[in-house]
Amino acid sequence: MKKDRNRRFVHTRYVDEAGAWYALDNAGIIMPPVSNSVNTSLFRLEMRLDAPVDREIMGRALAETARRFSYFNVRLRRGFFWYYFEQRKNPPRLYEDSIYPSQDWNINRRGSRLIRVRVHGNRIALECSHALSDGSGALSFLKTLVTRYFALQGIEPGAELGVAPFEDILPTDRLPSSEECEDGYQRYLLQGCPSPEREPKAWHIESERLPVGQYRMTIGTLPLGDTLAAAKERGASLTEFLAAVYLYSLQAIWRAQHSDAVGKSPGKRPEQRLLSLEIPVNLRKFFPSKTNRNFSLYILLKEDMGLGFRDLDELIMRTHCQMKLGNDSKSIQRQISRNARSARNMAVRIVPLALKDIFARMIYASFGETTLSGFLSNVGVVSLPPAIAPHVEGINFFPAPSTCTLTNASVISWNDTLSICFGSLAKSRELERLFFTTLRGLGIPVAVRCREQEE
Amino acid sequence: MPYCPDCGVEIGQAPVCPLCGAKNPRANLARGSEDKEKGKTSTPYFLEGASSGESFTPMEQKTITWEVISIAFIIAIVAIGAINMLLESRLSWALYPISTFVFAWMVSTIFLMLGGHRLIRDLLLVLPLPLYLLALGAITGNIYWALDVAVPLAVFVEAVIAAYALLAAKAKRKGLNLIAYGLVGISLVCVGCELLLDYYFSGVIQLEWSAIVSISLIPVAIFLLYLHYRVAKATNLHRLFRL
Repeated sequence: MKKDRNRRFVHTRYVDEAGAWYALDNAGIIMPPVSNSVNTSLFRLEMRLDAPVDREIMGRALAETARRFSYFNVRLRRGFFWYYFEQRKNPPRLYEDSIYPSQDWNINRRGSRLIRVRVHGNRIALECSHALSDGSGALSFLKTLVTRYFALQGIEPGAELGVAPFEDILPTDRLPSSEECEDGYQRYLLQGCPSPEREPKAWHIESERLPVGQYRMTIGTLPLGDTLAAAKERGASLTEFLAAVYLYSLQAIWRAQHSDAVGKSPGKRPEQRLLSLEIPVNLRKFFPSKTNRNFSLYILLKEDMGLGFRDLDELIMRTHCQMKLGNDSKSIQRQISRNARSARNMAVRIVPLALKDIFARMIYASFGETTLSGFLSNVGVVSLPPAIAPHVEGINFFPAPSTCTLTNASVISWNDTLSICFGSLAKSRELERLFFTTLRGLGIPVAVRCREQEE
Repeated sequence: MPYCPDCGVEIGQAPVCPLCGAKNPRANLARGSEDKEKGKTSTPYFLEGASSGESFTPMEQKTITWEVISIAFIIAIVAIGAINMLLESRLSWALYPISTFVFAWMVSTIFLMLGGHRLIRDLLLVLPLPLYLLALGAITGNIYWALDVAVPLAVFVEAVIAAYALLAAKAKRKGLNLIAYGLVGISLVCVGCELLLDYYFSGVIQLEWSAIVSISLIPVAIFLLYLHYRVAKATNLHRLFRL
């Protein structure tokens, strides 16, 4: 009985006479009510190939990949109690890319898909809503798409797909398994586990917003070896090192805004003193899940500015310790427990969706992005089959836009190159400038470009 | 490889540093030679500081449009008024085009300047037409036809249009239901017209032609709504009511 109950929450796919439909996973359910055409919830992965993309072949590859990842080829619908994804029969189409990604796409608009594949010149990009999947799931889709694209051109991958080390590149001639779209949070929910403490509100960068529809992408490329060596030299992992530099930059902006506030009105301090940086954690490292839906949580790195300014080495050490404390399965279980348990609660389930939407917006406003000053997501090193790798010149990963934190960053490594991509809705470029000049000051060569200037 | 002199980061051929905005002189040189190769001419130096339309925010663009429209109307009003004054030494026929210009200016001002405040914009949009009709009444020297028929009819038609727009905006699925709402709206306008005209001309209300229109249109509207909400929507109840 208990097993059946568990299964009911874990498996998201249902089939009826009108076709397949899917329940949203536990992380995805918050996204539709808080998404709009600016806060689109779309994060982006892009690959730069060694030749212009052949749209006809890419269209065929996309159709085959969408058939394999059928749970990605969906649109959002409203039920009476919950949102659900409805299977689309037609494959997604290719869109021309724009200099402002992840904008002008509302997942709540009728007919909108949860993914958008865009092409421009040598570039192929996947924009994916967080209502559907996380960076790991989306990367699996994009890698499969690109592998299939080259296969259709007669370039076979040169390695077996679907098994290690390319287990996330799925063969398109097989059917998807139900595990691929399961709700990992519900599967690994530990009943009786205590919830984590409530997080306080954090300080946010104050800046005028860019005009609606604009989302600036600033890309910094660094030699992976040099950056890793700099991190190791300071006793930190790459993510810890970059997170500390990010906090260091935020700290400088906080201090500058603090000085401004004091200058204008002596004795006045910024309302919030807490700097908080969210570091997403891929839960597939802790739990053996094959899901391509959302399965990540986060560690919050916190610095109280009331305690004074810290130098970079101090921040690296503190970040290392905070990450070590948060990065264990028991601490993660507490978050899973809090989030997944509420979706099983009958009192929550019987609330009509219209009311749930209102509560979701309130909860998001109180406990969501207001508790963080920014986020830095690192999906790690990308591996591609040996025959495909020479045709991919670069990979970038951009965060979803946020009207609350305004600027965020994502990190991805490919071919000894570390790509740090900032996505920003703010007119100010101060965070990006401080971040990259700090790295440059540590002796790491940094090349920076802005997509607006490239096109 | 070009570096930003301030930030120390490599900036390639970007015209300015993406981080601090400092100019990249080497990019200008490189771009100039590229342009020559392509047979293009670079931007003349006297245009370098000029803003292109793309650099304006949407609000700035609207303000500029509004200023242009306002000045155009002012010029037209002054010209027409002056001609009328020159020919007849008083304002007579010019009052008609002037009031029309003022009406058009009010509508465009509300649309352009209150685009972000939809509720206030929509509420204010009710005003220009009745005011215009009142002005025409005053110009013709008989304001009573405006007060008794024209203004109530205008307000009533605006209310029906507003109700239609609201229903259309709220409709999750747009299809036959919008046609049905339109038919109901037409029926209402016809009934309202006949009521007001009957009352104004004879003081006795007797529905005739509008009743025939309504009897014809309302069943069609009901049928379309039935088609839209019951027949065309094939959705499994389990999806809708999954707990």
